This record gives sequence, structure tokens and C-alpha cells, in this order.
Amino acid sequence: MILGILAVIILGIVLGQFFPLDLLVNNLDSISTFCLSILLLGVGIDLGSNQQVIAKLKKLGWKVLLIPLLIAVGSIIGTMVVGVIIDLSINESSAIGAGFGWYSLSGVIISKVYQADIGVLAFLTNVFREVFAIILIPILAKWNNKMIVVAPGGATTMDTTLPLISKSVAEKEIVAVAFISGAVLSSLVPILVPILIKI
Amino acid sequence: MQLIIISLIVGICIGYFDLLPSKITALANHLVLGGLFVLLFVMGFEIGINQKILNNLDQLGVEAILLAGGSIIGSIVMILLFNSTVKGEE
Repeated sequence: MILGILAVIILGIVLGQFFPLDLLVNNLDSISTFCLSILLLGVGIDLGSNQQVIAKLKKLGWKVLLIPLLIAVGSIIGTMVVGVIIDLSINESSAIGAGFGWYSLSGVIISKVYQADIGVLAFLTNVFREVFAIILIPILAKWNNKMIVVAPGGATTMDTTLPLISKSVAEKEIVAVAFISGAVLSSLVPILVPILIKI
Repeated sequence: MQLIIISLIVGICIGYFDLLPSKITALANHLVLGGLFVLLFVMGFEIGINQKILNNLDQLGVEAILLAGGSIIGSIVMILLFNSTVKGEE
């Protein structure tokens, strides 16, 4: 998957640099608008038809929702602090943080509704977030406080980093919390990123 | 921007209330993947036609590592604070 993603981006870069076809350059905006709505329709169907999420939520009670909300707040504050240091405006750094590790979606939304260079920064930031999460999860799992293994992965704890979490901790309720947290954060990405970047 | 949120909400409703035959909703995954790949291509293409980004790719990489670190540290700190408050209540 990650190889396919990189291959498509590199293909795009090479074509853009050496063969900037007018037909493509002039229609980039409508192509990306169309694809983005199709993509989000698919994401929505996927989330909505996953009855497990709702069933698990009811079982664990409302407090479990605090976990993804805290992770969301922590991620956004974290990138805003770094943003001040590296001289990004607040809307840029907060929107990048609201990608929560979902690099493909946050990158394309920002490229589409804002600027391509900040979109690239969001993409790279969230790729690194997933990579760091993969490194950190087994290390954090050794702590007494098991809940922190859910924190670094952000939105990815519902898919790509979930198997790693389930291998790293014995407590199955942590895996359920990780899944729910990832699902909540994933549904926040397409809502928060465009709102924050427009501030 | 409204289009993004409307598409997402329409999708969730379709999925949740089972509005479409399962054969069509099974296509959702392909839709996501197809849409994603075209968008990633467009993003790459925009990088390719933008000399400013190409010239700054190394600087963007360093900034991205710092931002990723910030978001992870922020998340961990919030969860630790949450845990200490929960323990305080017990």
C-alpha cells in the first residue's frame, strides 16, 4: 500500500516536472474536487456500515470518547507549538495536526482547499507520525499505563497500527479503545482539517 | 469544503441505514482506493509543476519530523493527564 502510494506520487511529480500537459494542468481542480467527494462518500459508507463501532461504543460508555478527543486536542496543540517555532501560521499548523496520521487524506484536502506546499508538509508530517507510532507502540506497551499505546497512532489505530497494538498489549479492552479512538479520529479528519485551514 | 462534509455525511447515512444493495456498498472500498490514487497523483503533479516546493523538499522534511513529534508528544501528554485525573477520582 505505502509503495503504491509513493509510486503514484512520484509518477505525478515526474509528469508534472517534465510533461506538464495543459489538459491536466487546467483541469486539476475539477479532477481533485470530483475524486475527493467520491473518496469521502466511500469513507462515509465504510464508517456507517461498520456496526461494530457503535456496538462497542455502547458497551464501553461515553467516557471512551474522551480518549480520541484528548488525542485530537493534544495533536493539534502539539503541532501548533512546533508551528510557532518553525514559523507557520496557526491555521496551517493546526490543520496539519488535525491529520492525526491519516497522511493521504489530510495532504490532499489541504492541497485542494488551500496550498499545495502546505499539503505536502501535512502529508510528510502524517507519514512520519505513522512511522514514529509504529516504532513507539511496542516501547510504550512496556509502561504500566497501557492506555498511552493508543496515543501516538492517532487515526491509524483503527487500521494500520491496530494489529501492532493488539500484539503489543495483552489487555483486549485497550485494543477495542484503540479501534474506537481511531474511528472517531478518522471521522474528525475530513471535518477538522478544512475548518482549521480556513481559520 | 461543504462538498467534503456533505459527501461524508451522505456516505455515513448510506452505510448506517443500509440504503444501497450490499453489492454497491462493497464497491466503497474500491471507490476510496481509486479516488485516493487519483488525488495522490494530482498532489504529486502539483509538486512537480511547482518549482518552489521541489526546491524546498529537504526543509519540508525536517519541519514534518518536528511537527510529527509535536503531535505525538501532545497526544501522549493529554492521555497521561487524563489517567492521573481518573486515578485522582478513585
